[in-house]
Amino acid sequence: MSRDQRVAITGVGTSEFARAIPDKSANRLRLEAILSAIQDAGITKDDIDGMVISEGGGTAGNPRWHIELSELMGIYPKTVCTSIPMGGATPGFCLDIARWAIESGRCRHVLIAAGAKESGAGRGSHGHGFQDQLSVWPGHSVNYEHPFGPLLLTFFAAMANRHMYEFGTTHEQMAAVAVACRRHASLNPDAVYRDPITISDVIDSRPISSPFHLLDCCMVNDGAVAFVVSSAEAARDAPQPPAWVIGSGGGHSSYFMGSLCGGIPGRERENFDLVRSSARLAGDHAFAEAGIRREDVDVALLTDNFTISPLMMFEDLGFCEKGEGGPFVEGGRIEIDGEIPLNTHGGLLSCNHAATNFQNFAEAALQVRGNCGERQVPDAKIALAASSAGVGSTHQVAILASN
Amino acid sequence: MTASHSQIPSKPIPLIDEDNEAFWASCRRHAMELQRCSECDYWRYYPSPVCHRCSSFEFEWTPVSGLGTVYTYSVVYRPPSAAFAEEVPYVYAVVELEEGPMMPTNIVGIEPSEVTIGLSVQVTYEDVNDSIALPKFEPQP
Repeated sequence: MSRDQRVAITGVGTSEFARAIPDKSANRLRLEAILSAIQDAGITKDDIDGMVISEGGGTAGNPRWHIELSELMGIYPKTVCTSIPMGGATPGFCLDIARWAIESGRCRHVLIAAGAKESGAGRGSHGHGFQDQLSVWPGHSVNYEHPFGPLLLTFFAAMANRHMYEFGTTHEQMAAVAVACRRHASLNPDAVYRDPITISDVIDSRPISSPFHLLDCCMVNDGAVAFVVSSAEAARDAPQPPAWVIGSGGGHSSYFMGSLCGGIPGRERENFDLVRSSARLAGDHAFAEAGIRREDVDVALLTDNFTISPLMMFEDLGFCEKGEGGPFVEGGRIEIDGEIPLNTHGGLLSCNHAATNFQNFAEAALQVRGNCGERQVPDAKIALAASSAGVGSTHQVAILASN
Repeated sequence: MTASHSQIPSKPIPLIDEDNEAFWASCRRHAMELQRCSECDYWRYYPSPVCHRCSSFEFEWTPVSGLGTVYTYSVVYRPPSAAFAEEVPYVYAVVELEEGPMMPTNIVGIEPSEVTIGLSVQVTYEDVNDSIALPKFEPQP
């Protein structure tokens, strides 16, 4: 079977990750990741002719990081330069833009980067609460949600409760996601939380928003991730083996909880709702484009902001039937020596949440290159990387493959 | 108000605009009205200038029964800000109204541990200030 070998990730880099890095600015962290990715790709900054940067950054103000970072790096001229404001789904769409720019002949090497100092963002940040002033909160439907006191994670907790109600999913099953991610983080020297945990540790941690306890929830921290996407001809000259982008897809629905619960007006039979997400569209397109089956995937890097998310993504991406995500994640199937290892870096739960989900794409490339050390999935040839935002509302997925 | 009280942030208060002012006025009267599309009869929430189903601009503000069931919920233990600190644990929920729309809200008048998906509820109003009354829900008798 011939696979698409037109575009590849050729270099990846990260800053250090920690709960707080007080002596470095967010830009310093982004620049460390960028320089590391450029070096890994075996190019110089003058080889870069496109930049696609995450708008997210944990600080208010000018979100045009693509301009600021290109000035700081002295990277110009470029033929593509933009920031993407898609929250947790940003990395997958950055990769799509890079891919389209390269396939069209516009670019040869596109730099993708994100980073944040979430430690300074306080309770207004992801996983915590909200701004007290609705006028400055970045969402259109907050007038009808936030007066009732949800944490951001309360929306996912309500998703989990509905999943438990419809399908009999248990907290123990969700906890298996946290246990797997922590086990993998224990094998990753860069991860923030590395001490292994048990199902009981998750269940017995303090309640946050039912059914979630503390260890069902991601951290907030400081860090940055970057990668370089290159044309086939450039990739073949690169020092590292290429991680070919053989398929990608997007799927987008709504953010407002009322709309998510109610499904698509007039199209209810298409069966999208709070526990049947548009990740299905992203996955179906990516697998069709890649021309592979679900069982061909050697490692899955999924959004694990809360333990329900990967469980539901395994369903919506087609790794198991709808409603079977609970039993699917049990019994070690998603651990490093299981059938489909999940989040070998440790994920948002245990490795790093800054540059949300960008690390899924970096890790997918490292896995198919065989560069993951103790956490390497033996003989990994195909990796799926996902990125998701909203309340499982918007999804960008890519499938990477070795030569 | 003491100095220490002024340090506590207020709860978020909905912003009134052209699209939602009739909705908040109806809540203020404790007689909630939602928009019903004049073309296709679709009930919608949150307030919007256009029908989410058929894209018509024609609608009527129409009283709702105030009855519904809990579609999903979560009991909040960790307050999102100091403004909610004295109320935890409380119930954030999405209620499916009898007329169809799904409404994020709080379930009140019941122990949080007693709330279940499918619980029959009815609207009750919390007067926040002269402009805003929040529609919350309590168990039907």
